[in-house]
Order: sequence, then C-alpha cells, then structure tokens
Amino acid sequence: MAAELASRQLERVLYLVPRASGPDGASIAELAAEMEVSPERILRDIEEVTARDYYHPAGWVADLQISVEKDTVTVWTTGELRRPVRLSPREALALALGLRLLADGSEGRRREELLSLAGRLDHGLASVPAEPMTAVFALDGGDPHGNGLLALVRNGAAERSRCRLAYLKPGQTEPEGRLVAPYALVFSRGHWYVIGHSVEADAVRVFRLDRVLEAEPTAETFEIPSDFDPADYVEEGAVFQAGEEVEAVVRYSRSIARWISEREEVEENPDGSVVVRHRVADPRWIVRHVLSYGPEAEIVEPAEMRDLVRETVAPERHAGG
Amino acid sequence: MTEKITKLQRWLDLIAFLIGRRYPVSVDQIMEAVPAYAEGRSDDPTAVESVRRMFERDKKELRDLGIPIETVDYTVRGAEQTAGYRLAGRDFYLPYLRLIGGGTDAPTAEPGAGGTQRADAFDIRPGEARDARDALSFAAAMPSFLLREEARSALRKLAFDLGPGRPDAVLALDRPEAGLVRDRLRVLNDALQARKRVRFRYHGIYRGKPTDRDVAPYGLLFLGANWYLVGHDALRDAERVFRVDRMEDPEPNRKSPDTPDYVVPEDFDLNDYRNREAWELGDGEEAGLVARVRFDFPTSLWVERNRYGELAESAEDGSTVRSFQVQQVNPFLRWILSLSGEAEIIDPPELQREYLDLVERVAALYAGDR
Repeated sequence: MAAELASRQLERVLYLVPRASGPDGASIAELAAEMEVSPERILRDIEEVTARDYYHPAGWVADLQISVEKDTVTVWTTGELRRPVRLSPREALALALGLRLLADGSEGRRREELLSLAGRLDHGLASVPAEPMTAVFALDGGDPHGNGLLALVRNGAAERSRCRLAYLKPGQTEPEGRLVAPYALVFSRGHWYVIGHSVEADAVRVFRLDRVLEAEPTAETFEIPSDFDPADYVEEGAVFQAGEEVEAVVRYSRSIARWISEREEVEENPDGSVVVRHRVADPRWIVRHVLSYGPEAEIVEPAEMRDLVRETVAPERHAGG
Repeated sequence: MTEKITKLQRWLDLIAFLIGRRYPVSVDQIMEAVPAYAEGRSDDPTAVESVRRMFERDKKELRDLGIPIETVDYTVRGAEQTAGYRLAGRDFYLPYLRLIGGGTDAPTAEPGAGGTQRADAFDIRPGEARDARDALSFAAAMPSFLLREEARSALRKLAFDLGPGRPDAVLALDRPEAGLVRDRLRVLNDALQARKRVRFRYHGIYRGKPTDRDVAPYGLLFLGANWYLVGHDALRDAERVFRVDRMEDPEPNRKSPDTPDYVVPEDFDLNDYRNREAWELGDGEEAGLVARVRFDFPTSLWVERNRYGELAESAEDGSTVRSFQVQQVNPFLRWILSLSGEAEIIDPPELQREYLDLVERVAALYAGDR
C-alpha cells in the first residue's frame, strides 16, 4: 500500500513539476482536476517535495524550488524535470490496448494504420515497450463483430458529419433508412448506442448500434445544440428515449439476485429475490430483457407488459422455438 | 534523520542525482549523495547491508514504474572496470511530440520549449495524434477498463505538447461494480505478466455452490461488456473461461515472485476466444452441441450483420438457417427466447424439448393473470 502510494505520488510530482515550471506556474485547482485528486492532495505532495530542503546538507543546491501563492504553484528547476517523463509500462499498455480497440472497430487499411501507429508510439514514447505485455489480451471493443460501424459513427460524431443508417427495430419487417447527426456514443450494459438527431423524426433519437444493418458517411455537417446533454438520455446506467418512458417493475429470482444487485438499484425481498424498477421507452425491450433471463425474471407490473410477455410466449409453446 | 525521509523524497533524491549526471555513478557516490542512504557509508556492516537492500528495492520499484535506471560497466581514468548507474535523459523524458504535415489543430512543440533539452523529438502527423488521443479517451471511457487511470495519465502527458484536443463524443456508463472489477483485473494482469498462479472463489451463474479455483492464467479477454480470464484450471485439469465479475478475492501465488509458476502452451491462441457469445465461451462444464436455427426476414439480416452462427441455408423469402456451436445450453436457449418468436430451433430434437420446457416455465409465471 505504501509502495503504491509512493508510486502514485511520484507520478503526480513528475507531472506537476513540468506543468508548473513555466513562467506563469499552474493553477492548483486545474492540476487537481487534471490529476483527479483534491487540491489538498496536491498541496501535500508539494509540501513533501519542498521538505527535502530541511534534510539536505548545507551548501546543497535545491534541484527544485517551489512557491505557492494563492492558488498558483510555480516551480523552478536546475534544468531537469521540465519535461514529462516517458509513458510508464502501464500507460504504454493502455495506449497500445486503446489503439487495438480502435483497430477492432476498423477495417482494411485503416485497421493496419492503427496497428502500425500502435507499434511506432510504443517504441517511440514508452520507457519500456508494452508490446510483449499485449500478447495476453484479446479485446472486442463492442463494435458488432468488427464491422467498422463504431469507427464510422465515432468519426461522424468527431467530424460533425451526418451518417445514413439502415436501422432495424425489433419486430419490424423492414429496416428503416435514417439520416442521423450523431451527437454522442454511449456504451451501456454491453451495447453501444448512438444518441443523435434524426432528420426523419426531426428529434433526438437513440439507436442501438447492433441494430444498424448498414451505415455510410455523408458530407452533410451539423452542429450540436448547446442545450444537448447526453445525461438527459441516461439514468442509473441505462440509456432510454427521453420523454416516452413508463415504469416496469421486474422481479429477479434469488439465484440471479447477486448479479442483478451488482448492476442495478434493487429492492430486496425476504425470499432473497430482488425487484428493479426500470424506465422503459419500448415495451418490446423489457419483454426481451425478461425473456433473456428465462423463468428467473418476471414482470410484476404493469399488467399490459405482463400481457405482452404472455402473448409473445404463447406461439412459442406450439412452435418449439 | 533517515526515519523522517519519506519514500517519495528518497526516490526524488535518487532520480534528481542520477538525471543530473552525464556519466555513470558508482553505488558509493549514490550512498553519499542521497541522504536516506547515508548509513550505507557507515562502519556498521548490518546498517550498510540494510541500506544496500533498500537501494536495490528502490531501483527495482522505480524500474517497474518505468524510470529507466541503467546498470552499466565503466572505467575511470584507466582504473579497473566497475559497475555504475545511469539515468539517461533521452530514455527518461517524453520525446517532444512534433506535429508534421500541416493541418494542425494543436500547438506544435519545439525541442527547447518547456525546458532543457535532453529529450528526443518524435514526429507525428495530426491524424496520428488524434488517433492516439482517441485511443486513450476510448480506453478511459470503457467500463471496467483495466488501465483507466493510466489511460488518463497518458492523455495528460500527450496533451503537454499536443494540447487537450477536442472533447470525445464517447460516454460510458460504469456499472456500480466496475471499480471492483478493475481491482481484480490488476491482480490478474500482474499475475499473468509474471506467470503466477491465482486462487479465487468462483460463483457460476445458474449453478449451485461457489467453487474454489486455482488457475494458471493464459490471457485476459474483453468481450463487449465483460472481462474474462482464460487459463488452466487445476480443479477440472483443463482450460477454462471465468468471468472476472464472478470471482471473489483473486489471490496470486506470492511465493518466489520472480520465478514463473507455469508456461503458457505454445499452441494456445487467445484470439480463438474473440468474437464469441456467452454460449460459445462456456466454462467447459457441458459437452458442446451443434444447433440449427431458422431466422425469418429481416431478423435474418440482423443475425448475419452481427455474425451470429454460421450460415447453413438461405431461402428465397429471405429467411436463413444458421448453425451454432453451443457450449452452454442455458444462455443459448434464453437468447433464442429473447428473440420473441423471430427464431426457431429446428435441430437437434433434444434442444427443442429443452426450449419448450423453458417456454413452459416462463408461461407458468404469467398463467394466473386470466
């Protein structure tokens, strides 16, 4: 624990020093936000560095001089430590795996470019190349089986260009053509969703990526409205179509309660089962959801959704799947 | 005095001493220059031994953190060759990221900017810089991603020269247990890199009591939303797949940390496990079977696009029959059921019977309503 703490402190200090060694120093609040720690933590780190002056012998020239004024820290160095250090083995591994995730969602030449870049950055920026460590990982970034859809839509979101989608809703007989301005991509519970403006509906809609059968980029550009906030389409870790949802109460049996409790807000029953209140925009979604758990999940209410499960299952009793 | 010097201070003293030296330095010079090692020059052999061990530990931990302290043989003025230590600036500092090719949307760093210059320059095109930033943002946004904090700290370092870049449009919703999963993954990754066995209690879903497992890790697999460990399981004496969020307290074998416990078989290929579904992964408890399933149009398009199973037959009405390698029957049947009548098992008959049994059990839950 102590070693871990020291290692994190060292990483912070080796970043903080070059950041604050410019003529204007650096804001402590900004440093804290960048490093995701409290300003007090940053001040304690600084204190520990400056305290080195007390135990060094007389005549020793401090390699680092740090001053804190109001909320700004300024560092003077003897010339060293004014650059960030190379990527650590774990940072290099994160970069290598991140590029492999992007490559997983790309095809052909683009995929090769990303893999080649991964090799170049690994050897150029890392203190120790991560390549030997990557062999024990296999990654699937959630792009539906490497079709390149995720990369295409991400690119549309980054470049602010619309995408044309062939979208197949569950239960539909034909895919629908949609011209969509992808505002944000959201990963939730094993699926990627595109939240974007649908030209056809003239409204923001949510699309599940694995239901996109085809996609192509267009040259049409868009701007994201200033009042758009993806958080409006997210609640308790799930994505939903804002404004159209109803509550569905689902009971999960004791045998799977442990797993449900880890990912949902649950109400516990005396028999060990748990209840979850889902906000549902599409009743077909909740039907598929409970059926995916077989008899271990049951819609408690509303009655119309129970009816829907019964109607869905009835033909199966005769058809045999 | 040395009790008051913290580990961070000791490490900083060591780094500052080494990075400021052009030539290798001896261990005696280090003992003299770093206050926490002062007793390494005393007349007490026990104290000297203790400080030397501390120095060895520091050196190893710093190297593990990526501080490239080199051990080099050197000679001073014709004297006998001796071992020394060096921390070369070009190996220590991040190279200057120099954007080339124009069209940049970020400031271009020049060697010399921000300080001294013993760091190399690294040429990078704007598109590559964006890819690198996207890769790290993507990794940082993935729920339960093993190295999320490191992805963020790497992004900060790249931003030093390249600027912050555009905000990424990717948002990930972390599950409440994501932090736990990351902690377990760190243990598993460390064990895997060092080839050390891991023990844990495993809770198989839909199965009875948890079991204690002792596994030689071969690889870590991230499929969609979940992390899996693939390895040799001593309990079953066979290769098995374990979902990381169903493990309890994974503990590596801490004996002989520098000696591997096992060797990953040469014919093992982790990519064999990619692009599989839950029913294809299984944990090897059940014998596999081949199922044939008919999908009506347009669900057949969706199934094809997502590459579920292998195409076996196509009909003129757009429907298809696809075959599936099923290692775990239960998740497979529940998946078919969740397709709400858009899929029909046509073979084998015993799977059809199991499916009907599942349907009846679900129907029974709703039987009392009318």
